Amino acid sequence: MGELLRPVEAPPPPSGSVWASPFAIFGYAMIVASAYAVFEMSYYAGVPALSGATLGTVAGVVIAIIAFLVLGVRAPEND
Amino acid sequence: MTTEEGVTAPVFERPPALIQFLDQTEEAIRSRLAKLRLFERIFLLQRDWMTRITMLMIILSLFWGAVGAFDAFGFQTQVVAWVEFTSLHLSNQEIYSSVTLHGIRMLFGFAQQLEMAIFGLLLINALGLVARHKWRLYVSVALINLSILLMQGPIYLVPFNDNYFPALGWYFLSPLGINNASLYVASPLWYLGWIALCASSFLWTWWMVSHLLRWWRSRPADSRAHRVPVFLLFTIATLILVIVSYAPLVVSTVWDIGTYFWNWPMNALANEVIFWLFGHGIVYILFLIPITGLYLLLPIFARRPVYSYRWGFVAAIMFVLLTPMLGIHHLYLTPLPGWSVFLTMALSFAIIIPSAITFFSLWLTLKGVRSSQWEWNIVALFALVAFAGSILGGLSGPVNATVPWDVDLHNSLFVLSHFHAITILAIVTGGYALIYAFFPILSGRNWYSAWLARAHLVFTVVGGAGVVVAFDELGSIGILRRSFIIPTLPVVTFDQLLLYGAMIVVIGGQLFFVANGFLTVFRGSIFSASGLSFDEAIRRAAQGTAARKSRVPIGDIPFVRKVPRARRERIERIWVTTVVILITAILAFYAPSAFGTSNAIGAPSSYPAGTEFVTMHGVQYYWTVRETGNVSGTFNNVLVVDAGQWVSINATTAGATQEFYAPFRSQPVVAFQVVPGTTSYDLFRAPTIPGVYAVPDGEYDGPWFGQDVAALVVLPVGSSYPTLAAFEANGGAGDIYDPPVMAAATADLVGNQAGVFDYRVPGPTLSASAGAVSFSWEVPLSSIGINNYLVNVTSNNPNQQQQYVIDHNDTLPFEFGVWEIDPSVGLVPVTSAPVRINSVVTESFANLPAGAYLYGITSPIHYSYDPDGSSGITTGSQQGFVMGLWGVLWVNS
Repeated sequence: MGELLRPVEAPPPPSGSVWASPFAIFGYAMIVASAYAVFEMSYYAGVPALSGATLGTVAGVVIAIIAFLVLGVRAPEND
Repeated sequence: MTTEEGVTAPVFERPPALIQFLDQTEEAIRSRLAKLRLFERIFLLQRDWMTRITMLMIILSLFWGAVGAFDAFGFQTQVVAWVEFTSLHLSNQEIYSSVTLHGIRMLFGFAQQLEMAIFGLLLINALGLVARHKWRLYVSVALINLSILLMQGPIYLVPFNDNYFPALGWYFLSPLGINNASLYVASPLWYLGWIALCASSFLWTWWMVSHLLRWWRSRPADSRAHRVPVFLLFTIATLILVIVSYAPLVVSTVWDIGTYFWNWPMNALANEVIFWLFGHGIVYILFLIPITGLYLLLPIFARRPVYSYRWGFVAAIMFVLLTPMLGIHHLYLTPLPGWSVFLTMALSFAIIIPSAITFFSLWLTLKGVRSSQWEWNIVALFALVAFAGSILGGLSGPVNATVPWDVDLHNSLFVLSHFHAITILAIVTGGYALIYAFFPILSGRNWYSAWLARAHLVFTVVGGAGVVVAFDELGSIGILRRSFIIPTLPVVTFDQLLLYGAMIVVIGGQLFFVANGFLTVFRGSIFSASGLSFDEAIRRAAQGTAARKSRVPIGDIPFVRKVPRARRERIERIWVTTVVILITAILAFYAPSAFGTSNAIGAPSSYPAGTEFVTMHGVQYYWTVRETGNVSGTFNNVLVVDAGQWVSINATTAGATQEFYAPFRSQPVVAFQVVPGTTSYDLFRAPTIPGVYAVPDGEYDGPWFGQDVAALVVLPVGSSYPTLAAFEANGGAGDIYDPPVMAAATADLVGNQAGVFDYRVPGPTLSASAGAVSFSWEVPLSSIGINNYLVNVTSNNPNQQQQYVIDHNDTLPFEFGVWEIDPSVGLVPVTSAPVRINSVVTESFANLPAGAYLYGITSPIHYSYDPDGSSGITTGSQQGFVMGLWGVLWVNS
């Protein structure tokens, strides 16, 4: 009892942190790019006389960015 | 890569005699030049013809890119000179032809030619084809480079005179530049250049399609069910878009030529609509460089197929179907029917879908790849930047596409922020990813220096980001594109200097690439793809630019699918559905305002009580204004209204499209375009605070575009004239172009090189209290020159204009004076006299009543540029009506 039925295999070599994976790096780049794009829009959104024209598009873009990230993180791997 | 060189064929299979002659001539030239090591190495003269022509195209594209970058640098030096109050060393014509040729050389000489080179190389190598139809490709390359030379204009002139280089802007809106239809007439070589560009593009497409068809027919029947690689789908999409986009360009350009030479009737708005079918198409044609590159390179480095082939196919189809229909989003503010404007907005949002699919798929292609399996070589780094840049630039696309938002930013530098994010941070970086991947395969040599490659990357990204940020900052406050006569305010100066610095960084960064290229062909180690698959060859080529400790074995790894297609496609379907729902909601939200924003092709059906009715007619380069209502009279480049009054405008123009652009910030922006042959209407409410507001022409209409700034003079309600303190406290409604307010008694008005006072147009608003009023002004003789419209250019002698003034006792036959704005009749003269040059003149009034007055030269001056009779059918001609030395004198009660 308690004995292993098969010899233990050597553990696989470290494969690197998931936070440094290319998926993660490209995700960070996407976040930076999206954040600046929203910052660009915020000038107009912050001017009362102009913000009425911006609300719909800004809201849509922000929601899309969030959806992109959430769905991407939850998606199955490309295996 | 193999060709059919060296094969002896029977007589009936030999090429025609002309082709044989050309082949022999080419070989004679090649063999002689190949003896010189410099030429042999740079142009790869010992290699096959496909390699040689591809290398030549890359070199030529980089050449045009360098020249095009220098054009932008030249333009920006003038802008910096302006904001720093130093002298201009280029003429107006040179300045605006610089920005024109910057666009032409970058879009076509550089980017399109590079795309032709890389996609041709990709097609032949990826499909293992034998390159054929050499002279078809050669002629295409010759034509695209010839087209750039032709578009430059009459370079054969002796003495050389680049003031005849076309200054139309890269997108040229008819009838600007057309003989007998515009006061600014370009050299006809411009139009011939566009025809040559069309011919080149069609020929190249034919060459590519020939190879594709040959490949398709040569595959074994049972392999036809196998998929075309995803990146090839986008190459095919490019070919379709070239045909669909360049066809309307042929139509609009032939129409322009017909009007130019044979007075064909011109419908400017229709011609502009047809042109923009091409205008937006070309942008997506070039955007497919990074998309194709990412679809090719990311799976290679990830060693996994694209996340979803089907969705990639859908994206390619959607790009092809939607791209040709977006052109009108460049014409939102013209008098097109509201339904067409809204439809184009809907389509402009719909094209987000294929981009959304693309970048989601590409990102998920990498999911599951371990960091230890991924090599951060320079190709991967440029691909990363192209990915991020596409998202950054792409997300500002919906901003421009939103019709009521477009009113706020149309023709502002915000638009340049958008497309320079796409061009520099997506298209250029995507192109470099492909160049770094393919150059070793092409040249047979590994990249010489990974450090030079990294420096190239860093400078390109930092400089490119700086350019985007600077344009964004300037555009957000309302600064127009293409103008160097801009408000000389600290915030503008700072951002222009930031832009200048960023341009130097990104241009300088390309020198690292050029140096690396030279060192590679002369000293790079030998690269061999022998025994390697296509993917392995790409990895090996890229590996030379990776740090040694981060290198990953290049060998292909068999891939076995574990996650079923249904699961992967499900998440893609959820993403696309989300995007579609968001787009639908946005369009529904904006529908009412989109329909109401465009210039209705009819006047409003009703007007608020007390509306001021204004009829404006645009002439290069001012507006004639006729008013009825509370104010009655005629003016030049001035609208006079009461505070808070509703203003109805009925506008026409001749010679070029113009734009009425009042970039307010504390009230809605007023912006609409006026196209020759149509009437534009607008109804807006004037600011409620009396003062002098500026309304620049927002659409480039020729070399004196910058001086074309009208004044919106808002009078107080009632007879009492307040000071301008409230106007200043309110920031002039946030209009960045408002002239500054100065006390008349201490104002020192000095005319500059551009023929405006104190670097502002309209000149500073002079304020004084009723009673004794005086102000001084001076137009120095030194300000008279080619940038000054006061004296026609009739000679190539650079001193001719000043000599004319001297010969006429320092006096010019234009009335400089003061006119009272009388709301009941218009302008009433108070004093006037021929304008004196080179003397300080003091205008004094013992008892000037409260009111608003115009000072200066308030009638447009006819100007013409025709040194020694050079203007004519081959060079074009330039004339116009310009106002610059004028402003408003505000006398408070």
